[in-house]
Amino acid sequence: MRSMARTTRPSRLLDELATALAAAEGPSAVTSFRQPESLRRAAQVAVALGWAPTANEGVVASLRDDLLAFCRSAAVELHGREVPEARPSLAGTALALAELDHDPLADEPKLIERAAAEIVSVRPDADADDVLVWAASLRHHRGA
Amino acid sequence: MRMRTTSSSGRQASATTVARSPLAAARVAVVLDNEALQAAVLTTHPKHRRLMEVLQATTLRRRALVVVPTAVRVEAGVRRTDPSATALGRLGVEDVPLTGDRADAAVLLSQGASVSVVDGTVVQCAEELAERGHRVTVYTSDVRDLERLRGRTATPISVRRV
Repeated sequence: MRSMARTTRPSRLLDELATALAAAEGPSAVTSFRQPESLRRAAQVAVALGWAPTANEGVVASLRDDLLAFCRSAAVELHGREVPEARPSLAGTALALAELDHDPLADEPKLIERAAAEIVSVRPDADADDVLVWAASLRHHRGA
Repeated sequence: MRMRTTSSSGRQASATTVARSPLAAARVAVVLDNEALQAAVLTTHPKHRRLMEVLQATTLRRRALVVVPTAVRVEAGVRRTDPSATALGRLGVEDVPLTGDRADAAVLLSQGASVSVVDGTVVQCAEELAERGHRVTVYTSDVRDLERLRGRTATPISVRRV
């Protein structure tokens, strides 16, 4: 059986990123991270609005979330290049997204397939969210 | 998996995360059962692409969690140290350890239901995440048994065939 394990340089870097993220609760370090003054002020205001207990905690949590999403997305993309038959389809990703959202469209895979096929003709870079909007519109007009 | 809040059944998890705003807490969570885990790891599995689509979809939702109860890993025979399982780290698939409290909750949940031990831990994990405000979807090949257990919880968990 083939596994997803690969030893290419990008995959090694992804593994290094994943390992660092998994250990992200460890000791902290003070850095000279530069940020625009306007962004620093925005973070302070966001803290006052309940974004996070402190600007530092909010920035750390947001950065971790961003890196986790980036790592997963890059891993799926890299894997799709290495194993083309595993590359996610637009319709399949949209169906999964509907499932994750607990959207009733998740029970209409044919409609999602049709929406995915149609939307790329007018918007070639459509993503799964776009497909679900198109599918919802198809469903609405079907019921009208 | 990082846990912070106390569930309705009184379980207190470790306090390692920063506080979440109510909006930030409403996020997506995916729980993988045995076959879903195997499909994620093995490129030859017939549902491998389907799992890649699920994982791809999670990247479109902020702070999406993908977890596997450790009992599932035992049943599936997947060790994180195996070369075949290194992808779990890259894909951000986190372990949910079977603690004493979780074992107790899984026992209560599955009592008299004639389901496997692992099924009990899967639904317990999903219930715990849902109680913390996550929108939880379980991926499994055993929809019937998990649906039966889901019916015993008061939380809105979705069970989908892998």
